[in-house]
Amino acid sequence: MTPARDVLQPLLCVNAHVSTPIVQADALRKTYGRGETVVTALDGVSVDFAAGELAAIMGPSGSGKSTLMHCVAGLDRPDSGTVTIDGVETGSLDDKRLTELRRDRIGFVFQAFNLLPVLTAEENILLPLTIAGRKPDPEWLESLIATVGLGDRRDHRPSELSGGQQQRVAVARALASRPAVIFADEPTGNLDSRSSEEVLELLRRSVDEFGQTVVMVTHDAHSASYADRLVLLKDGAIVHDGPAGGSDAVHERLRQITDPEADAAGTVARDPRT
Amino acid sequence: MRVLLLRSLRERFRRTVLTSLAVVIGVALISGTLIFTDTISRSFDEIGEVSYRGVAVAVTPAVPIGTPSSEGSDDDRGLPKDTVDRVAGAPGVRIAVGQVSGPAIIYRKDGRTRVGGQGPPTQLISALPPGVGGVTYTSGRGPTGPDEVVFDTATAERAGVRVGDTVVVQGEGPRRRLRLVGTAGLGEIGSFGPRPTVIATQATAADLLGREDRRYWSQVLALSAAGTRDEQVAADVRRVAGDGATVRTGEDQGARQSKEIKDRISFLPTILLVFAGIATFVGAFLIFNTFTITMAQRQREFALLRALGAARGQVRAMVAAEAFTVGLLGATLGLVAGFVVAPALRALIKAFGVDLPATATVFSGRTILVGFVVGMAVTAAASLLPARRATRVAPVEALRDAAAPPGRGAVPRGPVIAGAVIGVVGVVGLGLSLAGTVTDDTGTAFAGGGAGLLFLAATLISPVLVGPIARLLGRPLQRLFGLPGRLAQDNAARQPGRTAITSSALMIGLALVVFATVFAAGLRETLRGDIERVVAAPVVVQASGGSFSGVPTSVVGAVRRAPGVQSAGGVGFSRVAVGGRRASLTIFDAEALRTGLVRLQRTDGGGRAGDPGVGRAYVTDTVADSLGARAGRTLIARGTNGEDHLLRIVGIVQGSASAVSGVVVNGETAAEFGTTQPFFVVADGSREAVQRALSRDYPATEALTRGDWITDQTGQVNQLLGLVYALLGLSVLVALFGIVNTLTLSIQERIRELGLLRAVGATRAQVRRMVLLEAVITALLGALLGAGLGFVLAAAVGATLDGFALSIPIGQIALLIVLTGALGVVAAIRPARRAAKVEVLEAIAGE
Repeated sequence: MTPARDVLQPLLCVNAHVSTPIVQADALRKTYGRGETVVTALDGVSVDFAAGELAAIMGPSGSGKSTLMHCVAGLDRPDSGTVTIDGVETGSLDDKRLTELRRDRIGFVFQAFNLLPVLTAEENILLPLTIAGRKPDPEWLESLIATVGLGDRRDHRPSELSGGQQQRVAVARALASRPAVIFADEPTGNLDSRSSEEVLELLRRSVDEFGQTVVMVTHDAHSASYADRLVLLKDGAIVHDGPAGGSDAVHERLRQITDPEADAAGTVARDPRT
Repeated sequence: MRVLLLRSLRERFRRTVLTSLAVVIGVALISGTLIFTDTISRSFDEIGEVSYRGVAVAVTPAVPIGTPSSEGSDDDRGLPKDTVDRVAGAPGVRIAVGQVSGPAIIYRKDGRTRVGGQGPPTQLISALPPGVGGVTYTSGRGPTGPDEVVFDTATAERAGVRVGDTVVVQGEGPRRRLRLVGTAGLGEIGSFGPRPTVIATQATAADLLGREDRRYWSQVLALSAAGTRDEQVAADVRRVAGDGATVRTGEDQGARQSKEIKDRISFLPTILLVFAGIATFVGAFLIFNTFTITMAQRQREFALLRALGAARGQVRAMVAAEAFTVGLLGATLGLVAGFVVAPALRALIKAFGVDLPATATVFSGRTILVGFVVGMAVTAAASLLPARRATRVAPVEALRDAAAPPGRGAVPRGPVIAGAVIGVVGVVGLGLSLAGTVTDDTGTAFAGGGAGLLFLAATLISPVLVGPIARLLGRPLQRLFGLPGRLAQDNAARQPGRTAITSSALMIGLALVVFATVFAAGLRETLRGDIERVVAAPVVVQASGGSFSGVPTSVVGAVRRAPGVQSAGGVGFSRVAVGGRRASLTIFDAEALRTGLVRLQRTDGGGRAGDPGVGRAYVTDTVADSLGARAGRTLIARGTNGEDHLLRIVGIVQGSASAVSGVVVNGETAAEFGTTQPFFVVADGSREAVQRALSRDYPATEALTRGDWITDQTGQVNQLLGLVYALLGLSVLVALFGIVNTLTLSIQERIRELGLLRAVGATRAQVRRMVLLEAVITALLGALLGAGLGFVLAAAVGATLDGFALSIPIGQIALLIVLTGALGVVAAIRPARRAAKVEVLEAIAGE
């Protein structure tokens, strides 16, 4: 953590929207395929994410939301455009530097298969630190384990944990290295509603209590209602960017962009799974 | 289903080939051995046939009862010189010719550089008239004058001598300088078999070999008049040939000669097939493991088929057809590869000094049959269990989420208990054989079977050991390499069954390597101990390079005359038959025993044994027990010359497997039994003086100090060990393919884990290191188990040998273990590279 952020943190928590961005994406373009079958996944997307905000990215299937997240998170490279994370421009990094950036500055929560089955819950949480060969701060570890509510299960292996518990461990792992930003890709996609609530609560608290920045891709309006900000994508472009509001408001936004009446160019079938 | 099968095979082409490779290597070794041994067998048949082409009757010295003809004692026997005339006088005989043959040593022109020397001893034969005996001259002509000689083509080539060059030949008699006038071979074979062969005129050969009229001819050949039957002529010749002669038709004699040689090397196919069998056995592990893993990975595919209405039998048939294809592919490629293996085996044997003849390659129907049967049977057996498991899948599995690879698999108890039971059976079988309760072929079968069961038991039990040993090895790796070390340890232990079988394949190879190493070290130490106890002489003279052909008898006198030498004596080994049973004959010159150059310990309370005297003998304790012999009794013993002599036992001496065994007599007594040539000569004085005294007349002998000589003797064990290593190396190679295969499959299974690791910041180097270390753990697991098992086996076998000194070559074993770990790294290079190449996005988006 940079000293600047230490000082700024209290401010950021209170007034997230006016702070300097932690993640900046500028004019990202990405196409797949060639010739006739070319698909434009990102069509010049520019978006910033500020420190201490929980942003939700939504959009119908094929809107480019996953591609956007992969490019911004350094898992994929855009065809053009730049991504800057915590002041580092990722386009110029080689594989090793990019890997180190992911290790030290970025946290990940995936939809499934977040944990290594051979490691215990605690070892999984500490994985990014262990990879980097760093010693964990014991106090920080204790507060993490307390926050995710896994005190008595820290020595269990993933196969002995419920789906919700596994995702909470994944969130704790993402928090462990105090990254600049956490990317969560459908973090509740595989969970029942009670477990989903727990995981979303956890993400919310990490923003409110630790000043963490979280960018979450989701298809679920209810999940998006936990966010401070809602970014809507369609056909590789941002069609809405503003406060998230409640679950109903998110629904309304979504309905607008997927409604055949509102979009004569073509209907995008809504697939609730993707 | 057929379409599905073909698609599935094509999709998994690389894996199918890799799995087949295990079958290929096994079948290639087996078919290679069969091709090789069929070929040399045919060559010997041809040699036997050509040697007696046109010969109606062959007369040879009778083989003494109790001395099997294969013991190679032809050289000591002979027919009286007048046999030729008697045979020629028999009805139906047109011409009778005699041939002289015996061992000789050949040198290049300088008279010092020995030709051959290693491998089978050189034979000197006398030339036969044209048209008899099948010798063809490939260059030059046959010997006609007293100073002419012919070499066989291969020997001439190896010696680098040409027609017109001068060479030196020495037999039992005086050395002579002869001129090479030609090179020769038998018929179209161009070789006389593995023994280097030189041909001289009859008079020259007899002179070189020191023949006397009483025992002159090695064989007498008769050509028949037209219109006679060979059998009839043989019967007529038998009437005139005399008591000490055996008469056979030429055809019989040829067949017999080839059979004798084949019997003498009959151990070779057996040994080679045993090693081929081991490699195939190891290959079965690889196939089993590959099928088990791929079947597990395809659970959903099978479940889907079942859900769509495929009957259990159809799924099973598909899996069986895949196994069939692997077996068929492997066996076919293996048979083809056998053609490469056969000459390679010949080259390997040649590298150890035996040049076996090979005419046109013999590829018999039996080779094809055995190759296919073994290839298919091994594949079928190894895939049976995985196939059954695959077909038990319930259709509902198709609807479940992709089964994530387990975090840590439990070890099923059943196989472990079965392993323990099999282990006990194996120990009992091995024990019965080693304790001598069951003997001969049954005993060998019990020992081999027992050892095989022990390996199986160790394999079944080893999954239990995977966890603890992985932790033991993992801890230092974790300290050294951090996370990759930790994950490697966990990955190795997560499916103990899989890791266990992978490392078991290596365990078998390594157990045998360690067995051979420990056993050889024990043998070396035993040999050293035995020799040190018996030979006290400061100087020992032997044939240069430790050749097993011994030294000329006259060397003893030459050594004795050397300045500074007070006493010297020859030491030799031969055989006698006592009461129809074979016994070793150990020969020490009286002077050596009297002066303490060699020391024999009496076990019947007489201190050191001196010269037993002519017609008298000591017996070793074991012979005393088996013959019920005591001091004062008299034995009737028959020597290699077929003569019976009385031997009065004067005492019992301590025996040892390698230096003193059977019946011990002095040189004069031994001469009565037809043995005069010593193996080595012991003397006092200084090595340098002895060497100088010998250098002119006996350039092919070398004088060594006692220490050097003992080291030289014990070193011969190493050469044998080298051959065993070379043959076992192939089993280890198969086992390494197993590591490659298992790792490749495991990585495919864990692709999402690898992606996750990369996503949360593990570098490619860290991922690579993780896979390499997992391979190291697997390899070391096999190495440790194998080393333990091999050591126990060696100790068990050694314990049954009289006076076997078990020694632990710790350094060598440690080196083998480290080497195995390193080989594990080599095996993991490709899988590790693949693992490191995994793209994060593909891995997490996969499925």
